[in-house]
Amino acid sequence: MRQSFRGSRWPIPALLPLLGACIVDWTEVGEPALVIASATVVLTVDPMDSTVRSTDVLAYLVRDSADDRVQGASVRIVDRSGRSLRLEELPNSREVCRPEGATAEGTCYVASVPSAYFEPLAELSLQVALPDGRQLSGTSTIPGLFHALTTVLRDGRCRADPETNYRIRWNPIRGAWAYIAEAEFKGLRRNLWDSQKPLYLTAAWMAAPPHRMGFPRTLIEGDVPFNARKAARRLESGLPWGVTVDLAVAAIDRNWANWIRPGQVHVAGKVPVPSVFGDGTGMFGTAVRWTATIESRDAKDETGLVDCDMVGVSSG
Amino acid sequence: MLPTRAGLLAALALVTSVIAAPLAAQKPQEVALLRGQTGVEPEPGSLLATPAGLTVGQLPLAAALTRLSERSRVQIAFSPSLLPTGHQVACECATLNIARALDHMLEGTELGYVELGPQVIVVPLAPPEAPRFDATIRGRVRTEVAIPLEDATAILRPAGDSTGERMAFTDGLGFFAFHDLAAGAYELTVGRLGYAGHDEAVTVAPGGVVEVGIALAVRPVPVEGIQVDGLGERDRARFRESAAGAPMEMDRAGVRSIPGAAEADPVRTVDALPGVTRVSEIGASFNVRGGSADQNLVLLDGVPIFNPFHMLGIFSVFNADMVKRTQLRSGGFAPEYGGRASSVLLVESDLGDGKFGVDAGLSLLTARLSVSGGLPEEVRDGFGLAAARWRISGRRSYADVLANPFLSADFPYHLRDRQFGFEAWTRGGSRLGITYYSGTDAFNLTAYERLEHSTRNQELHPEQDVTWRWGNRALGFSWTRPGSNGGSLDVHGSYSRFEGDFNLSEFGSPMLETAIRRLSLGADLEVRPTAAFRWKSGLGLEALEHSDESRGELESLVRSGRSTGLGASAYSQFNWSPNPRWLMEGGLRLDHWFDSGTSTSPRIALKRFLWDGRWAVRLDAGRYVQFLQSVRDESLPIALDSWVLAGNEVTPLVSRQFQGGLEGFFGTDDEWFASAVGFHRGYEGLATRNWADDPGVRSDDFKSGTGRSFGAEFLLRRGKGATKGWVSVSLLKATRKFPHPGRAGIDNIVPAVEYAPAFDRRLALDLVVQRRLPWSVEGGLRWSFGTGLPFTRHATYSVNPRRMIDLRPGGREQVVWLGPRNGERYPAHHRLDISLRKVIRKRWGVVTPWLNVLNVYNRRNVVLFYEYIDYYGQTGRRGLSLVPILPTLGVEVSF
Repeated sequence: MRQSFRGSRWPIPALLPLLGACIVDWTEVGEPALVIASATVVLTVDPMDSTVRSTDVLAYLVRDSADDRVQGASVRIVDRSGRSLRLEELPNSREVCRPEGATAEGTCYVASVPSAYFEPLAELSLQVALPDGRQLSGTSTIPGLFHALTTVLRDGRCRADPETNYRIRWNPIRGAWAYIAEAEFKGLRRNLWDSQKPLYLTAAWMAAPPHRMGFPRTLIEGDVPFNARKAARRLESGLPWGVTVDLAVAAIDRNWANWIRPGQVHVAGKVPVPSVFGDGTGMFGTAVRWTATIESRDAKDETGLVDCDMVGVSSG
Repeated sequence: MLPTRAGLLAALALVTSVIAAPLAAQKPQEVALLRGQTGVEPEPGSLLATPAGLTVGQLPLAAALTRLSERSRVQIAFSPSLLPTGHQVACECATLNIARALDHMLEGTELGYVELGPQVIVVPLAPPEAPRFDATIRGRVRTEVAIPLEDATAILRPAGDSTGERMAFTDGLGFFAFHDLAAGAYELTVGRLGYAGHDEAVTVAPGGVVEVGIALAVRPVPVEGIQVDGLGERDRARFRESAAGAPMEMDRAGVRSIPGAAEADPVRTVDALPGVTRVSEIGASFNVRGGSADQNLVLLDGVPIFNPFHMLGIFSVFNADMVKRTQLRSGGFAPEYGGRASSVLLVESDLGDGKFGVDAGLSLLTARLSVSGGLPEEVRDGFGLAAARWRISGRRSYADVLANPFLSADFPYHLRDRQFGFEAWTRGGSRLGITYYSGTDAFNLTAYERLEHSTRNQELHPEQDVTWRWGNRALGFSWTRPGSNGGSLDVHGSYSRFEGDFNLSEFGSPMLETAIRRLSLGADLEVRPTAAFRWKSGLGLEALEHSDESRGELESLVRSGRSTGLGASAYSQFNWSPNPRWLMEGGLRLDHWFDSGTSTSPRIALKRFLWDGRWAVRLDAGRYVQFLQSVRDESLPIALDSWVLAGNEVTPLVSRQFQGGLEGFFGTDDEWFASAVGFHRGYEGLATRNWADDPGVRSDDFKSGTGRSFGAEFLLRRGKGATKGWVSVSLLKATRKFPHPGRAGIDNIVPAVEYAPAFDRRLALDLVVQRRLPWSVEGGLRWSFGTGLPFTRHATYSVNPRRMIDLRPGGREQVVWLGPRNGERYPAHHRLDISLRKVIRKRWGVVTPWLNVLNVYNRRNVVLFYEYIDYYGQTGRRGLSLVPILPTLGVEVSF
């Protein structure tokens, strides 16, 4: 009977038999539980006039132990003028902070603030005091104002031609270390995307941001899920007719960029560059984003949508 | 100025007691200058011509001289203290004159006579004319087919005198020389293992130079067991000739006798030498005296090899069948070696003896074959060659060949390498050498991807390719013109490249392409104007190019980019022995890189021989500059080098090094060698990746730091006899200092982080024993101990980056938190490996089955820790141990 050599695609398992047997030895070592703080401040701006429409402040604290909640902490964000924003602990983190499918509970801290509580380019510091006296801190500068140069929206929506690739441009953002584009594609035919959920694709520019992206082609140049490859190939030539896309483009600060970029290689996995220091680790990142909904319709369709007025590029 | 006659007589009066003379004013010092003669033909009428008229039988010499003076009536003066005690003479001198009588009486003594005025004075004989030690006998030793023989032993004895024996060894061009000889007849004996001895009588005139050309005939001799005695003699020769610490050398037999994981590995064995450590138990890259692995220059017949490892560093690319010897220069190396700061590992190919031969081997990992031979006479004649030899080898792993019939998809990995060496000698004596190496590792997982797709009823896209392929290719040539006095002119060039291609898929999956290429051309001139002075200078040009392209997660390994560099170098060095007690080496190296400017590397070494010349103290200092650095994280067990060339982004690495110690030979026939060495190294311009660099700025992609290492090494080695080996103890403390990786630019304060690098093994002990055992079995044993290497504590945890579309938590991602860099240490490492090789001689050749047992007592040496949380929420740490007790076996065939 022929044996299958399947499983991990990575070659290390294939390599190990060449070395002979491997033995795992182990030693018990008690270590204090590690506290990780992940705090973000996101400004949402109108892409047409750059006004700040909302400010979202959130901190998620988790401990590396069986009970991973971090309750009773004092979490504050302080701007350069000394104005302090205290974040309140949520009794249930599930909806706001906890990712779908995650087993960790953690503790979520949020703040309700006016739309323009923080301004672009504000210098902020995060201060976390844990009930046991341990402290964590970090600093961040919010990226500058952000608006689209080519896209025309009305109430955040516009119409694009099917089977066309566009170029979306925006202004260079002061203080931005990277740009992220995310899109959810709705209305794809079942033979392209066999799921009840929208197709989610993302792209990021870390080095020398071009301040523009191809739409939708750039989104399929990033990591594409295995089951989305067929849809991705279809999207190479533009949006199919009838597809609606929720698009977000964000400029992120240094800390956020360092957190999501590929970092130092370690046998245990990815090592992000931390921006929270002290008695724990984590990230304190800030971002400025705008969002849009783009529908793929013929120009003669009477949807009432404004044309996105994006620059068309080759559809090949 | 000669003393006056009156003065001499006066002086003589002070020391004589037999005959008093009015000479009191003479000075004793002047008397001491008088020298006598024997066999003098006296002038007629002189005192010496006076008839002796004496016959005496067995009288003391003093009495006989007194009797002679009385009978002849000639005043004969002598000092009794000069006469040998107990010397009795008998003389039938009645018919002889005084000169002949004195000849007879003084025979067998150191005395003579001189006629001085009215006296004949008996005084010490005039010394013979002082011999001149200004003659030279030199020559070259070749095989019958005119191939120069290295390491042949030349022994020179004065004719008829076995006590004045001198010994010399031939160099790589077969040259040997005996300087400062007295004129006369000598017997020259030249021999080498495997060749018939050669005896020749040589006569040299005062100040003369005699050149001999010697051809040794092949005469195979059965050798039982390990034969590395010649290495012991080479040790002695290097000890005498090298001021900056004798390089440590291992020949093929030595390499094979040290147990290896899968097969003999010339590079893996170097960590048994003092001062050498290895970060990973499974990796072959090594660290010398606190230097990182990229600071080691690895040369195959003079051609640099980048990433000289298979299987991402598990063992080296060098096939032991092709290796004649390896030589490690762990510090104080001469200016002729540039570009690396820590050590030079020379790997020298063995091209055979010009006759057809085959070596083959089979291990658990690879099958290998090498064939050697020469050129037919008509071909040699056609090219004007006196001799030529070559060897070609191939090696390939065979696990895929064995496994594929039983697998649904092809086994994904194989390695192969090919090596070729050629050497020819023109009739004019010039040497032409060519070296070629090509090696490839390949992981091809496309078949598994296809299989995985098929289980999902999906088709793999035709463009999808999941292949990793990497390897070296190197080509070198050299032309050498030997000089008559042992020097040479050498012109050489080389091309060496390493390329790796790691494609995983389409659609933005991780991808990495890396390449480094080097082209060089150079010339060296060595002259030996005197026996005590050697001078060597050289010029070189090199072009370097490296390019990396990475995507996805592999961006962490290698940063995308391309850079080129053009460099020129010049050096001049000398080796001077002003007298037998002192040896001095020194020189200067200039390197110019067109993006980095010029750097100067002076180096000096002094050696003072002690006692009978078998011991010496030495001290050397030098500056070493490295323009090409690897920013590979050495704490990873296996990885590729990621190179960065000095220029706009990083500065050249500069290392200032001092070392000194005591070393010498002892024991019968000097079979023992011992050394104690201390060293200090400072580093500036060490480069490392800046993980928090601004993605839009290239100039901050690397950080520059400093480093320091110091320590001591002790070696006791037995190089001769049935049991050979060594024990070495190495002490090291190394540190590195870099700006904090995450805080630069945030607080406008960049604190420095000082830590022990991954290779900072504070204490290492190695015991290596090679012994001939009964039944033609060669035994090898290695026990190594090392204190724990530093590591960085880490923990894994999940993060949930927010989606920008709805600001909800995105998918969970597992990331790693790192504690203080290298803030903890692994447990101590120790391991015992043994090897047994049975030499079976057949009429057609030699078969050598071998068995290695690694980690005989199954020590679980931890290579990495990982954190975990158990069911009850308790955190802990698990250690991963590779290499359990592991027997490996293989066979070698040679004919």
